Amino acid sequence: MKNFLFKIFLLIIFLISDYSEIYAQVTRLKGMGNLFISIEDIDNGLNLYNFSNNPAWMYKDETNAHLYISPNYDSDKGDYKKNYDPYEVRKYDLSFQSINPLGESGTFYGETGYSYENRIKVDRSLRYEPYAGEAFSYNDTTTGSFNYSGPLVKFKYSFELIPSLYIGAVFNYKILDGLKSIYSRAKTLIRETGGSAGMAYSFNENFVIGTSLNYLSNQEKIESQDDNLTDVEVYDFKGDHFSILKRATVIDRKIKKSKITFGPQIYYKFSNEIESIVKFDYSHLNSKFLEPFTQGQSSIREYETGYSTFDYYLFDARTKFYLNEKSNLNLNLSYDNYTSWSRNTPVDLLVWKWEVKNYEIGFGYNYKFKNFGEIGIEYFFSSETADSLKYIDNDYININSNNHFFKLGTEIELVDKILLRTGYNFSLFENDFICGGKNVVTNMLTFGVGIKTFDFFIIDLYASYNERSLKESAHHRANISFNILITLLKF
Amino acid sequence: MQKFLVLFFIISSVLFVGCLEEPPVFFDGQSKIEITAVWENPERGDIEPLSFAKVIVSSEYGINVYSTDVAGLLVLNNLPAATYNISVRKQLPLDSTIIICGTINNIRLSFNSSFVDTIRTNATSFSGITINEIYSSGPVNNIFFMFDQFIELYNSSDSNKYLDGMIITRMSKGNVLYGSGPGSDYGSDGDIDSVTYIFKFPGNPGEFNYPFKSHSFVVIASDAVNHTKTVSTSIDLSNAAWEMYNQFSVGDLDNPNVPNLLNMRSDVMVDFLMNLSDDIIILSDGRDSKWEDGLNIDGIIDGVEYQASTNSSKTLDSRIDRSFVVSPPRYSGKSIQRRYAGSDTNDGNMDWEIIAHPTPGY
Repeated sequence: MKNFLFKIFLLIIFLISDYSEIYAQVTRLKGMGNLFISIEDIDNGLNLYNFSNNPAWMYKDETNAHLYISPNYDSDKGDYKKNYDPYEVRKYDLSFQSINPLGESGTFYGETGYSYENRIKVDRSLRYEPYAGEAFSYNDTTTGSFNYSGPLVKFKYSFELIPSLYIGAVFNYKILDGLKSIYSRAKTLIRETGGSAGMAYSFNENFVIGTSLNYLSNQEKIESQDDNLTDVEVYDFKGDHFSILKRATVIDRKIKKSKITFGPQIYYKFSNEIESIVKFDYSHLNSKFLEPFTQGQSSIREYETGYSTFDYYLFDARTKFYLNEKSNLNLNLSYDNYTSWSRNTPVDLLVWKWEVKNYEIGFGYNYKFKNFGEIGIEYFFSSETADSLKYIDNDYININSNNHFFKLGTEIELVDKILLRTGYNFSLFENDFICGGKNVVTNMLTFGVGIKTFDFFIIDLYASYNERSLKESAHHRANISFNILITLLKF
Repeated sequence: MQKFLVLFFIISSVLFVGCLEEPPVFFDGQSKIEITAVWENPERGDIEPLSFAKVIVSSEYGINVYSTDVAGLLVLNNLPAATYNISVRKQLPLDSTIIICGTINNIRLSFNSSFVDTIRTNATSFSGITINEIYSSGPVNNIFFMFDQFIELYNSSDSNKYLDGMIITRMSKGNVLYGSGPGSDYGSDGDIDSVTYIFKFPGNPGEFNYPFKSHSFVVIASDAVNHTKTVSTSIDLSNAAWEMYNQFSVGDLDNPNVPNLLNMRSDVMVDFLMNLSDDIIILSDGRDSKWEDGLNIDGIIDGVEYQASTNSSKTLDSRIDRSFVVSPPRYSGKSIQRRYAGSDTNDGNMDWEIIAHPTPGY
């Protein structure tokens, strides 16, 4: 009974969480050209935990104790960007992830990390994510750099409640502290708290159903105060063109977001040659833009100046065909629908409304060489439609984009337990809905090394270079990424 | 197990339906303003369209400047919901001292509304002395330095004027004891109250000892010294034409090479300093120097109220000015001056603008 109560206690603690951690082991797949559907990997199986992040299935999926240590570097630079995006972003982070199967008591996952982010030449925007889809933004008058840094912690626990019924929960907490280097010296504090709960029921080895519920709370507080005594001026944008100028010694703004995601999943193994998994997610998110209500010298309340809401539907299905011992074929189908509207709260008028639909079909093929390595190839075709109604800006767009995405990658064991990986990605997007480019071409090269010569740990290295360019213009953006993953097998 | 699944789907359905929200029915950015500016041509005696006139449109979304077309028409579509003020103005090509102007205020546009009207403009002569620039915000610094303030006057007439006995006063909020605020006519006795500082040019009204040349500027510094020696981002006022000097203060700087305006309040021991972001400055002819009961409106030559925010309440009597100027940020090194030197339509919001740097004497 005590054991049961302890588990329930852990569940309650973890009920507000997110489970969007980056699986450390994808370092291998990234080195092989991001072959996420064709290559089999320890953290890429067709199950509820790997495919749909249902924490309940962690108990069944993670059966070996290990600790990941992972330092990362990522740089994204170039002039192919939206107005308020930084010219360059440099990210450094270090994370530790521990997985501890506790036998019948369940499986425990713990993660801690610290990230540092340098955003160079941010043009006026004071928000961390100026293009999150809301019609509102906060700008000052200068182009400067932001530095963000902060820790994150995450805990996850899963166990078998009754035979064949598995329960899991996640809790995560993250803080980012930011500062703009020049006027208006905006200080940003982003606090994100989340949690999720999942449940899975296994009828037998071939049929599993599950569901998960996720809640996320995010708050971004921006405080502008120049250290030169100069009053700060902040422009509260409603839409792309209209803004209200606010001026004071100190200007506070706050953005509060809450998101709830719900979705069932089904896994079915038709035979030893065919298995499938399907998930459906529905997410609802709202963002509130708040200003302090000032009376005299004090401001004890806040009022809403803008409100945005988002609804997201996702259907995702994958089927794996095991052609023989050496090869398999994979089919991926997905559909997602993303709608949003924004309201100018003081006058209760609709500012923006938009909808994006995306259909995608993907194929992947993998072939294993005998005692040598393996090769994989993937192709995705997607058709996206965006219907954007920016009433306040008098800007109405209905646009379609057919996109092609091709991936090729290989892993070769050159010498005993030393693996070399490389890959190539090519994509052609007819219309880029985010940055507005036409015929956007992306070329990406990836490299990786796996060193498994030691008994106690494995070292995986990853590097990539990625360049996005436009056929009709000279704008481009390049990305460089490095990642080291140390997996301690016994600790 | 079946009961559990049924319960699960009921809860999830409730969650799903509960999340759906309805957007507002009406759209922002769908309103319209259509104005036709006309004026009465004195040569022909006809009402004619005021073509290619400057149209200043202000609202909480800021100030924008447009132009009428050849028919005097301006159409603004897709405007967001707000309260708008419109001022049309044009200088007469043959007489730069006359400006044709007209104003419509408090146009409230909500969703999908149209405002169509004709603005009848009138000719306004500004041949006289006006306050042309006020620099009060202070330079960019972190030591609370703001002693480089000045007031600039402009003589827009074709003849010389004389400054003898004229008075410059500050009417600040900190001095309000009664009435509806500084610069208001408490008791409706024809004068404006709440004098904080009052400094006077030498001589007496009607004398001709201190000329003010036609179409020229005069700078009156709080302290006529080179302030860049103290704060590098400041300005040099050692060549100012006049200096405010408080003879009752033991520490006020006095440049011996610059003539002084002297303090008329013996109970005030400090220099003539203005609030950085909100204040009222009055220039009067000096006939009414009895400041205790306020300044007679008849003797006021010009008055300007500046405020930090468009939401601030105006207190200066509307017979002197109908609106106020939005001031630049404190310690920004920015200044306010008239859009056209000397043009005064008694509408501060439309007559004045913020400039990036002070321009003393030019």
